[in-house]
Amino acid sequence: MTEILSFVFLMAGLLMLAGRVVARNITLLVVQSLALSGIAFYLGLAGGQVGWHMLAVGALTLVVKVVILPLVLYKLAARVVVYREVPLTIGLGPSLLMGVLLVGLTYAYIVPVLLNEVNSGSQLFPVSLSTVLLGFFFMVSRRSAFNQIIGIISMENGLFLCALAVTGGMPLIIELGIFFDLLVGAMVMGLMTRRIRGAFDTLDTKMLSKLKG
Amino acid sequence: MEMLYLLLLIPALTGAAVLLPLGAVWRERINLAGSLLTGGVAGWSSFWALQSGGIGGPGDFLVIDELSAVLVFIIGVVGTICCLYTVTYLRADLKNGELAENRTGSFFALLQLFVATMYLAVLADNIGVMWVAIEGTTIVSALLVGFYRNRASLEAAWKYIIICTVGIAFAMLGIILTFHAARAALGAGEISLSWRFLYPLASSLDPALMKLAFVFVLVGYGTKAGLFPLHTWLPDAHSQAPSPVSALLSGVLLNCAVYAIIRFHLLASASGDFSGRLLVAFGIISMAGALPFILVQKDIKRLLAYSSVEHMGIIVLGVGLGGHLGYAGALLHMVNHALGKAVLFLSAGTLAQGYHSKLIPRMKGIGQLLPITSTIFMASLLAIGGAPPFGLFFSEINVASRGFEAGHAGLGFVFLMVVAVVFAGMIYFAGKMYFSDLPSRFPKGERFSAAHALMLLPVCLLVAQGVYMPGQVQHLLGKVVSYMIAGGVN
Repeated sequence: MTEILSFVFLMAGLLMLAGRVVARNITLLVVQSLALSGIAFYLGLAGGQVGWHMLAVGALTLVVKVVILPLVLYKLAARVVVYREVPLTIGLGPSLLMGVLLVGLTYAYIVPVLLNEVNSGSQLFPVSLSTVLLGFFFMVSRRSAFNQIIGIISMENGLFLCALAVTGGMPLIIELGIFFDLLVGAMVMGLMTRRIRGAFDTLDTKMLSKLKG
Repeated sequence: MEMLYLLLLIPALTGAAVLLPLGAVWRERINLAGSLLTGGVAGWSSFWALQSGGIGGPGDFLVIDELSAVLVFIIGVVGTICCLYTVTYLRADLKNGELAENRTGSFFALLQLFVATMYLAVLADNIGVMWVAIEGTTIVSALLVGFYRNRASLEAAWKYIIICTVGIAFAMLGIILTFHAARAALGAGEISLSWRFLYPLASSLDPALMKLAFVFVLVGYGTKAGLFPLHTWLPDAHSQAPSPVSALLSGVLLNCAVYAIIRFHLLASASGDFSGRLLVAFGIISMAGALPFILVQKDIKRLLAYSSVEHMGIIVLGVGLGGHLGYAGALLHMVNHALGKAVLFLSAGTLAQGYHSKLIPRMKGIGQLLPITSTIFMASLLAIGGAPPFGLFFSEINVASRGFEAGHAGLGFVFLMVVAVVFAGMIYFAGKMYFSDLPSRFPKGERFSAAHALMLLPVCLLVAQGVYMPGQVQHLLGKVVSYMIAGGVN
């Protein structure tokens, strides 16, 4: 079951690289978060006894990342996004290829060689690290402030799965803190994109390169 | 113990109170009272912690020990000075029409919240809570950096929040690995992430895992501390932020990030000197990397920002070299740099307000325009450059001698060369600003005010420390150093 869900999780991150329509990227982010919360619920219920910790994480993910954040993002996109399709720094084909290479790198080198001590053999760990890298690359390959927010949330999804895979989840108080940070951070970034849109009339990060040296 | 909660509570309540619709005068008064009160509590609790060897034990949410006492002292002194100075700064901005009057309330509120998150970052006993607090500082201070809402400040704020959020995500990977390593010894509860539970067990943690964790943490928090190849957000944010915020960012926030690195270093160095060598490398690269940018700079606040990169390099280098001299030099340098750089940013901010420009070629004859402010500016510039009799001279000498003592003669040589060239560059720019004639369209002169007294205080501390360091202070410093050498165990 976790295999299927982690596959969905990974594919959502990969497909983000293939599209440039903002609304579709948000939808893929929802799918990714849904898979994450599914994994947490499954881990909570799969063992002999009920893992309340995992269930709480799953429920939080569901509320924060599947419901609240996407709503905020959709509303924000309607207000600030200038063009339906974002400008790219790298073409769609090459960026998808790069994404596949990153996943390959994680599976072939980073996990079995660099991080062998942590490797538990489960799919979750390489999938989570790939998603962190994919989210990072997503931010670099899009020239839009709005897509950088999406990339950061996707990276955070990867981090969360990584915590689940390596340690079976961080202590609950810390996970609450991370959720709070993510939520407030995304709101503040959203606020800033609105101000940037007001001052620059665009979200193209090409315009955000006046400060140098 | 309850003292420490006051350090979070007072700024938070002050921040809430300035948002009440009370009028500008009351907002200033509340901010003044709240800042002074926080500063008092901070000073008292850091002194008490150094005297008695810490408040709060393992398992408490907030703990202050010898190392965090130094940071609480820095936030207490520099933070309070910046919060008080903000009142004068915002008045000038209102007069110049740079800011609408109804926005001063939210400025004070964000400033107080920023200070509260920094206290949480250095007081939290839990590694995860510390991470949450440091990410919190980014979110709050990014709003302050972009406060003017013009194109340049929005660009700086956006780069700052994005780069630091991504950077700190890597630190989280390091924390996950640390948790994984600690679980073997302490179990899956919160205590596996408690500094005070971890330090006694530091040598039993898996060395290979801790190496990996340290690399991630160094990249993550190093971004926030502005270490060289990761510093790209720093000059933008420091130059575009309102000056009291620049002073806080440079004097206090960078130190908080370095503090996080030091804590992890104490944990990782128990199983080999890998982390120390990495810190030495990052330190010297930061120093050398900032050098060319300092020499060709045209914007005074960017110049100061690159100088911060260099000084963070010195601190990290001192920590990496370790030993009595290295730790003592690094700790003193943290305090000295915070004091000196804060004054420098505040006075440079006042000068920039006078000229309506931050460009060095436009700021001619600063001694004639604002005689008192520019004297303070020149004094703190000499201090930051590392000239005697200011304290920074001695902390830099400490770090350099540790370099030679540990057998890295080449390293010590490069260190001294970089410091000398940076000094020459800064004096060159300062000379151009001071020893030139003021264009006749500016009014000349100013009267001594409370703001000057506020800026003089850290300068006096720096001179006093360079001329004569009392035995009691040396004793307290010695306590912190032996705490660090013992690897965080009392």
